[in-house]
Amino acid sequence: MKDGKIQVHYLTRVEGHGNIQVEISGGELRSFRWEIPEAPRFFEAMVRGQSYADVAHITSRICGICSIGHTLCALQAVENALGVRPSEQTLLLRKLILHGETVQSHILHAGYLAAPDFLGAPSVVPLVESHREVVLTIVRLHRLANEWCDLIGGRTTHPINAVVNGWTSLPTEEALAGLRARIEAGLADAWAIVEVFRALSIPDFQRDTEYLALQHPDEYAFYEGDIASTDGGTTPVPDYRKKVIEFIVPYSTAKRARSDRRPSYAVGALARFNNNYDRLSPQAKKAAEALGLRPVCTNPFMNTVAQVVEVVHALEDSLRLIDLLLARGLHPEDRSVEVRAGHGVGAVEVPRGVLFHEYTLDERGLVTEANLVIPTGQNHQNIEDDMGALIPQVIDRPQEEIRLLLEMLVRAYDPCISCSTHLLEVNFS
Amino acid sequence: MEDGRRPVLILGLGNPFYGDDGFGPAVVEALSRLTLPAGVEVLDGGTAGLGLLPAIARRERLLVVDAAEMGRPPGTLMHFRWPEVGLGGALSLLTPHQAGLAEVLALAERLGWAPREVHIFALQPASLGWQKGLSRLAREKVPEAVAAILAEVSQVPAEPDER
Repeated sequence: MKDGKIQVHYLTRVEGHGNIQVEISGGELRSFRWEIPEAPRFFEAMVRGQSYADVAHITSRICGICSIGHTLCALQAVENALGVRPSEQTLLLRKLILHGETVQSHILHAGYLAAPDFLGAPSVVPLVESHREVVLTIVRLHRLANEWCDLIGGRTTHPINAVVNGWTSLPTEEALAGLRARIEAGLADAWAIVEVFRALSIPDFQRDTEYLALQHPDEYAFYEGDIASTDGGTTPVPDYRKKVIEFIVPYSTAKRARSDRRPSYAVGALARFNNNYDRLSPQAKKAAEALGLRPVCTNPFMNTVAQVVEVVHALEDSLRLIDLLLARGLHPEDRSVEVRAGHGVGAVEVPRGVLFHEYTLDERGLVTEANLVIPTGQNHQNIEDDMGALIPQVIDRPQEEIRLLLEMLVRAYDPCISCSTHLLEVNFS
Repeated sequence: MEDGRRPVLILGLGNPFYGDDGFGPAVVEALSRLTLPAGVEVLDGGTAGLGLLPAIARRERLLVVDAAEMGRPPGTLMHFRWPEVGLGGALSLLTPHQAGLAEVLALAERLGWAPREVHIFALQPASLGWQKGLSRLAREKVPEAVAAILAEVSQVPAEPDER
């Protein structure tokens, strides 16, 4: 492509600009940018003045896909502010539902959105005819994950059972045992998806960057840990602002982030994999090997492959969590907390990467300050830097091919572009 | 998913923190406090988009409550059937976050799992934006939507038909 502009719009509701914009003239890259509108900033304002008890419920509405992660992160931050330490049962159930959301979200992304790219289809719809068994397997896993989140959280999204210092309702041991059996069956489905991705050809593109993820000594961190970097070193979560430096650019309302060392960094499945490979479950390690994924991998297109590995991990590790819960038996617990003024940070690995919630509470337990750092905000600058490196490598290809590659690149990050609202459009003829 | 037709689902869509976009969840909340006919389920689907596919698949009937851009005066409540009335949307998505009702119905249809009957109760919003709670116009329409939905589900056949 010698001259031209590439624009990809993601929503008809957003008018006047594309989310991916590239300008090429005389065979040279003139400009490129990636932008999105963002909801979390509105939520920061919205939770001010609200009770500590309502923060998780409100922030779960930031996203219909990562609502469980937002809920848990808000609860963690509030509990840290109040000096509350939830029981082991509470933590095991939180880790279990978080795995459910990871499977739910990764399957949605890898299955419905990324797979069509790699199978050369414009969307999942034609795959229903050409790869019906694959689509059925994807839907089965998706359904399992939805019912799993419903069982623990009381809803498939926007969980209502998870509250400060515990759960308002517990699953029965019979129901947990039933879930365990279904997750075991789900592992076979996950391996079928591994086989599908094994056969796909992923674009070959490398760019050295920094990968950040939570790290825990005993497990592949999702719910708790310190902030680890592939450049080395760890940062305790309460000090996250030392590692994660937020900034804004004039052409986008979304906050971005750089690290203390680099102008951009990446979070998400690949970042977790790169930092925590050693702690993957045995089957997940086998899946990674089958898929040719090795740490440290610097090909952003492999993020989707890392998601598939994490689906295997989340399923297998959930068997362990359920066994622990069943061995201990489930018991109602005292959820009372002492309200006091305080400040707390929560950090949870949600499907798209590490999420931070930070709240300051007054002596009545009302929020006076809030800061939310979402994974997609952290990935913005990294996506743009990837574009800057990728476009010159493919600049001689036809415009359509460049556009598709850029779309695939953005899709690989599985960005959260504020699904906080969807106004239905109706056409009466 | 290969089992037979599933019970009726009343599905509220939208975000209660985005003004009148919260109409669907508000109606569903009001309905969940009532005694509904046997075989009728209620779900606040929030903004889960494609994530709703397993919930709607193979339903005998699906009743959706949502705020919608219909080009009508604010506060207008409409009841129509899909696919007789078309919904805007596309299936070429950059992220799953873009998907809404149109996408999830299109995918269900292609899989052969579209509900046999889809009713949509849509409100033309008066006010959208980052705020909690409905506008007065929307709030006043909640009982009307509840009554219309109850009237519709009371026509549920006692036994779901064959298959």
